[in-house]
Amino acid sequence: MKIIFILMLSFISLFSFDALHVKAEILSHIAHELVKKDVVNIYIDDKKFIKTKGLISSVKYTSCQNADVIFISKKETLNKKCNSKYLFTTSYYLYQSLPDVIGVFFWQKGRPNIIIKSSMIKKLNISLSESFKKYVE
Amino acid sequence: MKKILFVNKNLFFVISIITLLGSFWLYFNFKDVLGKHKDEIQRIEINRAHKTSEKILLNIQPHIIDKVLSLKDNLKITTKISKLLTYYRNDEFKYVYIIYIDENGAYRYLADGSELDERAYLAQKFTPSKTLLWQRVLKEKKEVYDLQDNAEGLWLTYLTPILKDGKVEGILALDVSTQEFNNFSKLITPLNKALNIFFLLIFAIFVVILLQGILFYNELKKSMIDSLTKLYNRHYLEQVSSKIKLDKMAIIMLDVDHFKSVNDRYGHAIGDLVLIATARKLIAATRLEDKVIRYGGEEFLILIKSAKVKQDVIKVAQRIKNAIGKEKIRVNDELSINITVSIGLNLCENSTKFFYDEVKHADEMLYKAKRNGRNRIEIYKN
Repeated sequence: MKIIFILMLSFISLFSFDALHVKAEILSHIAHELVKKDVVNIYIDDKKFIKTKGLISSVKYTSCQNADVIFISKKETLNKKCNSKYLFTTSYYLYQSLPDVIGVFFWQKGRPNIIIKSSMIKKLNISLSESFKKYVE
Repeated sequence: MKKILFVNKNLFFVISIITLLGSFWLYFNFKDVLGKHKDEIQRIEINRAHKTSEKILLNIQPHIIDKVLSLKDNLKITTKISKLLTYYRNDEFKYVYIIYIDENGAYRYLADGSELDERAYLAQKFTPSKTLLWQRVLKEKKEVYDLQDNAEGLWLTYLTPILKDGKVEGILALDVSTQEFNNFSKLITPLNKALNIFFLLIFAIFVVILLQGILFYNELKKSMIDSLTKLYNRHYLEQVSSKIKLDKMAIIMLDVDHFKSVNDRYGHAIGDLVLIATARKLIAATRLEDKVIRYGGEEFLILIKSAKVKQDVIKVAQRIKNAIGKEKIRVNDELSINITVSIGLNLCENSTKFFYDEVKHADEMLYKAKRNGRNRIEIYKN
């Protein structure tokens, strides 16, 4: 009976885990595309993405100061100490309004969307892999 | 009773296999019907998407077809189109939007009828998850669709090209929600589950029957083998007696001479070893097609298959008698026992067709051999 209960629980958690895991995977891909390190430190303020914490071992969620890549959803989150970091956003509005944002990752119409600014890629001298080039505009 | 049991066992297996095959047929037929029904729902959904796309294009054509490129800069008109698209958004068509292709070949939003929190900005870059589908609509310049497996809550995407002078200027996209499909699934899932359970149950019953059958067969086989000598026993003879063709068979009844005195002198353990050794010699002296049976105690019955010359069986009987009598049975390092056998032989010529009558004749000959001094062969003459 105990085993059946554990199996059921694992089954349920496996399904609820899926969509979140996709988000975590994409965050990890973006972080590793920008910073070539085994474990990349990221900071994220978006509540929709907070639960992805701990799902991928190659990404460590940390404070804004210690992060290599920062994902912001609100302009207020950005403090001066973090200005020098790689800046990504989860809001298309911020992507358009903040000049120093490298790109945006957001969920729209049930699908993940990534857009990357070509001007920032050139400015920061980031080399993107082939799979990421299609997101550049 | 045992014969009835045998017939029933076979019948049981035949019925089990028919039931299993029937269940297979039922299961796959039902799955096929479900598949066809699902295809039909998909066809209806595609048809609806087609009609809706036609209606949308008819409504917005005056605004869009001629000036689709210039519209990209005209926020007022594109907002108006987006508003118009919202009228077609419902539980069935979750997202309705128009994409254009910019001078660099990138896809961008021209209008979006989605709810505000999902609505894209004008000229926002659009990266399709199914790039090939979007390339197809550009290449084929006709409506295309594909199932959505990467997007949440979406079943399929239906794309209609917006043409100007034979060139695709934009693409109208309808994302069909999984609602219809879920409704169908809700209806079908309990049936599907019931069928799966039914099929599993039938399969489990079949496996149990099969295992029972194998166990039964093994037990039956065990029950027909004598545990001491590993020869067939009388139970085996009872099972096969009705199938024996006496015109192609000879019967040898064989008894170990003075076996009782072996038991009395050396004990039952040594007596058992003598029986085992005798059984081995009998097996060695006969062919594979002959059957050696422990008839009871120290008495053995041998069914000799004699194809043409029945007289050859006399030579076989002689060989058996010599094989046993010639060499002593070595019980252990210190003890070897010399035994002889008496043989009653029935060649089954002019057979009565009753097996046990022929056995009786062979048995009479055995007793005759015993009476006449043992270690000899007596042949039944009809």
